[in-house]
Amino acid sequence: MKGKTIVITSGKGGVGKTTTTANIGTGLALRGHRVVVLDTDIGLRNLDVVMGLENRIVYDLVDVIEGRCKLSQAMIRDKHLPELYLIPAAQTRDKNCINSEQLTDLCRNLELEFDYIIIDCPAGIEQGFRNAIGPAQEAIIVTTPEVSALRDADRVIGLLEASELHRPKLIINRIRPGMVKRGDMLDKDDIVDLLAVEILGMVPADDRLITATNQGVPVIHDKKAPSGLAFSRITARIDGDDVPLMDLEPKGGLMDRVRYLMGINRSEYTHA
Amino acid sequence: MAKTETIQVLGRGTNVDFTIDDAVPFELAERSLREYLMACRGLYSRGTVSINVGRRILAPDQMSTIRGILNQETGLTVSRYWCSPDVLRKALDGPECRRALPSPNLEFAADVSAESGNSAGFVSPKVEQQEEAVELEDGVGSVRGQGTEKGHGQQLSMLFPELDEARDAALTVQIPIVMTETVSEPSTDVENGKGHVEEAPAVSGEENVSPGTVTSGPGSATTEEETKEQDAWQVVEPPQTSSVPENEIWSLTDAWSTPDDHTLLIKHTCRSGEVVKHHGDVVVYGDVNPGAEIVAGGDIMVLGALRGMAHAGAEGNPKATIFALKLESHRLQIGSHVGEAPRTAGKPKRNGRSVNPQIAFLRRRTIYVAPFTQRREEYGGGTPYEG
Ligand SMILES: Nc1ncnc2c1ncn2[C@@H]1O[C@H](COP(=O)(O)OP(=O)(O)OP(=O)(O)O)[C@@H](O)[C@H]1O
Ligand SMILES: [Mg+2]
Repeated sequence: MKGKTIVITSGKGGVGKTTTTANIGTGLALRGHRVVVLDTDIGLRNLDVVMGLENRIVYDLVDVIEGRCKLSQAMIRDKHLPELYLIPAAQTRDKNCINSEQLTDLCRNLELEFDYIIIDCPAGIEQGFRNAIGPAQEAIIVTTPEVSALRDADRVIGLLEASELHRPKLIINRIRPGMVKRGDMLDKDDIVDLLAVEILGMVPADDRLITATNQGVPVIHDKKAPSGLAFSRITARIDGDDVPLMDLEPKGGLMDRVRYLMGINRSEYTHA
Repeated sequence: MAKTETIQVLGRGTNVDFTIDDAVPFELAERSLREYLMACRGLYSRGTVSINVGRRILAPDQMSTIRGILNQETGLTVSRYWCSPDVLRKALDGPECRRALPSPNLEFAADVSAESGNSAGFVSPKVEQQEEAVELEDGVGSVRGQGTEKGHGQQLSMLFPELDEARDAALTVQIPIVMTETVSEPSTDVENGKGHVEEAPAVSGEENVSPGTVTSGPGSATTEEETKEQDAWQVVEPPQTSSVPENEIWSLTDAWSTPDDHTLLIKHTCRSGEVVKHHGDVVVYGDVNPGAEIVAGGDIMVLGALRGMAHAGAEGNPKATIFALKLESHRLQIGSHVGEAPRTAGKPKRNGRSVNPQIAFLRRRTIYVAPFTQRREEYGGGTPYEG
C-alpha cells in the first residue's frame, strides 16, 4: 500500500499552516491512519511546539538528509496517538541546506510505510516553499479572509499549477461569522469566486484553539472547540467522506441566535 | 511680474522664467527682450534666468544673442533654455532617438552658462542634471499655474498627461542633446536649427519605470505608427516582476510571447504574479486576478472577471479596447493612457456570479467604460476612468 503526500501551504505567513498541519495529521491518525507530519520550516520550527513534542527532539530533518541519523531515529511518536509521528525541522540551519530532490526521496520512503505524509510548508515562495511542494501529490492552501492573504494564496496557486500540482484545495481559517454577517469580512463565496478552487473547509477564529496550542495539544482533541470540530470535518473530507460544507453560524442559546440575526453576535463559534 | 507683448516674465526669487512668444520673428523677440530689460533696468542685479522658447527652435547663435542681451542689460545669466515638447520631439525625430522616448519627462535644456563662448549647447547625462529636470517641472508648474502662456501649459499637460505622476514617482529620463557646430547656420528655418541627438545611455530612474507609466511614445499619430518597430519594444519593456531565475516554474510567462500578431488564447485563470505580454490580441478564457498583468499590442478580451492590470494597445494603438464579462479592475491602460475607476462610496458591491459585459475604450484621451452590446467601430457613452 502506498501513502499520499500532502503539502499545507499559504504564501503569507501566520495564517495557520502549522496549526492546520498538526490538526489534520492528528485527525487522520484519530481515524486510524498511519501518519507522519513533517516540518520543513527550517530555522523557524513550530510544529513540535504545537504538538507538544519539543522536549523529545534529538535528531531533525536535516540530520536525516545529511546522513547523521537514520530516518526512524528522527521520527518522534505522538504523546496520544501511537500511529502519528513528527519529523521536526532543524532550528539552527536555513532553508537552503536541503533541496527538493532530497525531500522527495525521503517522502517516497515514508510513503511505503505510512498512509499520509503531511508537510508543513514555510511562508513565502522561495527555496523552502520549493522544497516543500516538491514531494507533494496534493496541496492544501490555507488562507484567512483578508485581501493580502488571498493575494498570496492566488500567487501560490499559480505557482503550484505551474509545477503540476493541479487542483489544490482551500481552507479558510480564522473566519468570524459575526463580521461576515455584518459585511465586514469577505465571505466564502467572495473567496471562492476569486481563487476559483475547491473549498475543503472553513475554520472559525477560536480562543480555544489558542489555549490548546499553548498547551501543546492540537485543538481537534477538544470536542467542545468549534475549530476542533471544523478540523474533524476537514479531515473526514480528506479521507474521502462526503461531509457537506456548512455555513458557519453561531451556536448557542436563544439570545445568541437573536444577536446573530441582528448581526451583533459576539460568541462567533460554530462548526463548518 | 512684468509683461510685454512678446516677453513674459515670472519672477521667482533669484531664478526668473522668461517666456518668449514663439510666433513672432526672432528679431522682434530680440528687440522686445532688449526693450523690456531697458525698461526695468535696476530691477535685476544678479541671478539666473531660464528661458522658455515655446515652439521656437533656436540656432546656437540666437541662443548666444539672447544670452548677450541679458548679460549686457542686466548682468543676468541664463541658466537654461527650455522649449515645447513638440520641438523636442522634432529634434528627437531620428530612429535612435525614438528609443529613448518612453518617458513622459523629457527635457530640452542647454546649459549655457557652463559652455562659455562655445556656440553649442550641451547637456550631458550627468548627475547634476537631475536638478535641471526638477527645474523643468517647476517651470511647467509656474507656466501652467500662473496663467501666462496658457497655450503652452495646456499643451504640456496634454502631451505629458503623466507629468505629475512622473514627478511623484521621481521618474527622470534625461536625454543629452548635442547641438553641433555644423548646424549653426543662423536661420529661422526649423530644419537648420535642429540639433543632433545622441542616444541616451541607461538613464537614471529607468529601472523604476513601472508598467503603469511606461508608454510607447507620445500620443501623436505618426509616432504611434513608427513605434511599432521592434526596436522601440525593447525599450518600453517593463521590469521583470519576478525576481526568480528563468526556466524555473517561478518565472511563468514573464517575457513577450513570440513576436507575431496572432491572437493569444489563455485557457486558465491568470493569477497574481503572472505577466502575459503579447504583440497581438489576447483572449483570456478565465479570470484575470489582482496582481496579474496582461499587456497586449492589440485588444484584450476577458471571458471572466478582469481584476488585474490590463494594458491594451500597448504599442500605441489608441483604438484598442478591453472587454470583460466582469470588468472590476481599478486601473486600466490603453495606449499611453491610464484610467482609474471612479471611486464608489462605501463598500464595493458584490456582483456574485452574475456577469455584466463591459468594454473600455479611449475617447479624447480619456478611457471610458460602457456596457457592451455589440462591437462597433466607435463606442460612445460610458463612465470616464480619469487618468
Ligand atoms: N482559527 C484560529 N483561531 C484563533 N487563532 C488561530 C487560528 N488559527 C491560527 N491561529 C493562531 O495564529 C497563529 C499563527 O498560526 P500558525 O503558526 O499555525 O501559522 P503559520 O501559517 O504556520 O505561520 P508561519 O507562516 O509563521 O509558519 C498562532 O498563534 C495560532 O494559534
Ligand atoms: Mg508555521
